[in-house]
Amino acid sequence: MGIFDSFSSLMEDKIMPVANKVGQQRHLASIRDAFISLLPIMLVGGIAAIINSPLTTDETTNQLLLAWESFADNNGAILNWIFDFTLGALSLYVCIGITHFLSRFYKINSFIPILFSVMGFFLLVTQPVSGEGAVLDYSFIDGTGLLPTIIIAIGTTELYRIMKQRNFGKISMPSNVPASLSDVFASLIPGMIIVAVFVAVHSAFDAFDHTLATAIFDLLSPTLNAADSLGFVVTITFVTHLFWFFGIHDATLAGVMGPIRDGNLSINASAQIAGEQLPHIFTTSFWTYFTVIGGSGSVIGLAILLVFMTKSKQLKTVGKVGIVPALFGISEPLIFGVPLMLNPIFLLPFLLTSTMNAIISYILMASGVIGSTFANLSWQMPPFIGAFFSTLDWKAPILVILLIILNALMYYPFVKIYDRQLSERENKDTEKSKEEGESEGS
Amino acid sequence: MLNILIVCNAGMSSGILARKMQDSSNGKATVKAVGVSEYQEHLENVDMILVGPQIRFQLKDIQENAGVPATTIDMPKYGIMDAEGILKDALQFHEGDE
Repeated sequence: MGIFDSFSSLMEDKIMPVANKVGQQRHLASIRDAFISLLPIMLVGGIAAIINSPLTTDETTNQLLLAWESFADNNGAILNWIFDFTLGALSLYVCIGITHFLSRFYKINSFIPILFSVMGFFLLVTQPVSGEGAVLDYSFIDGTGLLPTIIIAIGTTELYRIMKQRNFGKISMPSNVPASLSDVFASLIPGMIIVAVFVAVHSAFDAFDHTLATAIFDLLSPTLNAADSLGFVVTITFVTHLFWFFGIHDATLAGVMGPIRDGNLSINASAQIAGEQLPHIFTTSFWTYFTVIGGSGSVIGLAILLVFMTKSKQLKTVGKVGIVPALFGISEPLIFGVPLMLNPIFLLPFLLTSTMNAIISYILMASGVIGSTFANLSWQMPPFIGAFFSTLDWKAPILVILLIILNALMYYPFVKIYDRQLSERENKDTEKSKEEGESEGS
Repeated sequence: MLNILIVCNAGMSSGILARKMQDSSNGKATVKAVGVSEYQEHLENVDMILVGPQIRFQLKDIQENAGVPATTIDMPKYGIMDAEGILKDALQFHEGDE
């Protein structure tokens, strides 16, 4: 058995079941589903941030750009306000989302758990401000407070679920009381216990002039910075593609990746709105527009090769079917059709194209040559368009096009080898069927 | 009339396939594609489930939870969006099941 075979049986037997468990794990799955479902919020917030960042300088004379600038000037306050309660309040919506999806997993109505989760969110992530005027410091409700939010949402739902399942503190009502009302009464004592826990946690941190959110932030900021490093980005890109190569969809990792990517995006967007430098590089947009160009495997370059440079009928067909979805970030047709998955010929380019894209984009953004990302227009946006609007840097789409060319060059030698194999086989098949046809005829 | 539910990761690429299958079935089948996170809400009247190759490792789980016969989609056919071929396989699977 070759190295490749033994390695792929190791993946099938040992890694797949683990990945499967991770992908199905109820807490990670509800985090993943929450982030996926927040697209409308992220989109509206991103658009507000884009409109509020007109591409003008003192020398700008273009009427259209100047009109954009004056629109942004006149509507800055409302744009900020929209942003503050969309992408700028990401944690609040994540809190609602996780509670909802986890409750659904347990098949309990999510309404009351959401009430308690949101209450816990405000008690533990925001803090009162003493003095006149401002009464609430809510600076952690964007991506900065994601981790405490996840803890609160999962903790509240679990606590509520356990008490409900054990009928703990359930006040039984006479049978003629409507079901919805007895539900409310049943949650009275569990609710009070949950609130008591929140208050205890709040007071414990308050004694040290902290909130749960600020404490976690101080404790974890070195780790969070490490999650934005080149080493981390390269590793996660490589691992994601290694998994995919063995047929494990990248959504399996989304429960872990979502909070990091979307959190960084929200923090960057807040900085953009405030006119500050963008602190992070690794965001959702960095991933969808600059790393996996055309979906996992960065297949746009490959699709172009298949359509224009191959002799094999199979590969040409796969290229034609797959090229349009690839422009919108969907690479499954190519991954299954070529196939790229479990195909040793394509192991190297499949793992290395996206990794190379990540390295080049990261270095260019870290050195300030290309602007960092602060908005996301959904992963289905064609990457060169997405790259422009997520950075508002005209150099970004040029970079993406250069990366597509680079990806095509990386795939080229492997496509040549594979194409020769397939077209030889196809020729043999047609000759064979011809011969058969002739012998039948004689 | 056969009601087929395709379950894949997010229902995106399989959405393309579902429409093609429905068109090529000449009214013999309805085909809908949904993401694996929400498929349990779409089980009403469903006769069979086709699981996309990207989540083929979840087949067993889906078979246990759905209470509807389920099988995976052939990978190369999925790749070239061979709607007719997949529909034929599905019909065969369905008949074999009965």
